[in-house]
Amino acid sequence: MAAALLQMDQAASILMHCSTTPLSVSELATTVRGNHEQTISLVRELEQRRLLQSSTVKTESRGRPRQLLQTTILGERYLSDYRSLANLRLFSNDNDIRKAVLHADLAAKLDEQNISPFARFQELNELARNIARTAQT
Amino acid sequence: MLIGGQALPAYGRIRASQDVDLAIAINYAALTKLQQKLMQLGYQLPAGLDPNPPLFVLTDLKTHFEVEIWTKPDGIFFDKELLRRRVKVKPFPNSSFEMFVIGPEDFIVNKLARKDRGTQDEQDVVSVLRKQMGKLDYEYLSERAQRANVTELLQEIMVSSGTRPQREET
Repeated sequence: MAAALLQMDQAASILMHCSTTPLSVSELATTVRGNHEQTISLVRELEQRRLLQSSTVKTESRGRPRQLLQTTILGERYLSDYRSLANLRLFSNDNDIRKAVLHADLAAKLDEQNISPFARFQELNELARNIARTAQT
Repeated sequence: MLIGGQALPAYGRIRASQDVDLAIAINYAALTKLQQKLMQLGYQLPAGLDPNPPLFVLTDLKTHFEVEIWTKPDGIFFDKELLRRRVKVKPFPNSSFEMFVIGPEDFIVNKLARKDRGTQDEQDVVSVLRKQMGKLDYEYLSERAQRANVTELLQEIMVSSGTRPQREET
């Protein structure tokens, strides 16, 4: 499963660079920096996933035609989702995590006593609704 | 008097909280008697309980319901003003049982003064500030916040949530 996961940050970086201007593999490898082999391997994977496409462009000068990489529409969508996730802020602090652990322990205790934590939640929810309904503010 | 997350629905959004927190104004002798009585009634109290703790957890051994009893709730000053601002509620529709819920201003200060304050507590405060906007006694709130040393935090939350009363903005 882990092998099937994409290296998200690096993939986004490649897609970002190939989004505005088509780049050759060597140009891309220089631009994104990092391990050359890894970049090439990731490019292949992005192509397989149809997030990146390569096209052959004939050059006016002699030599082999250039293979240029460009981000696909699907790749642009990936980038957009990646950016919105990257902008999400995590609001939890240490106390929230401690409380979550406490609540999990409480749920486990209820479970040990054959009391459904969901039934308890509903009970407390009902209590909250009654408090809201009858409070005279 | 009900405080904490279960008091929130009286003034803010309805959020089911697993914690039931009760604040009691009680002297040492009465507290010892109360603890003994509760144990006789089948409630479990932590072993080796400090005779005068800031809070203790009470467990109903039949239902495994846990209630936190606060004798020294953070930021709460038991006085006439606090008692006057309490609100009565009926938590059980088929019963005549009534109980008090802490007033909205004291609810806010208590939430902000908690030593274990989490993001949820701050969101609860915002919820009350929004829902009770214009109805709160801001002078009293400011005075209690100052006593509890949470003025700066309260101001910060009011500004970021856009719940600062108009009078203060001018």
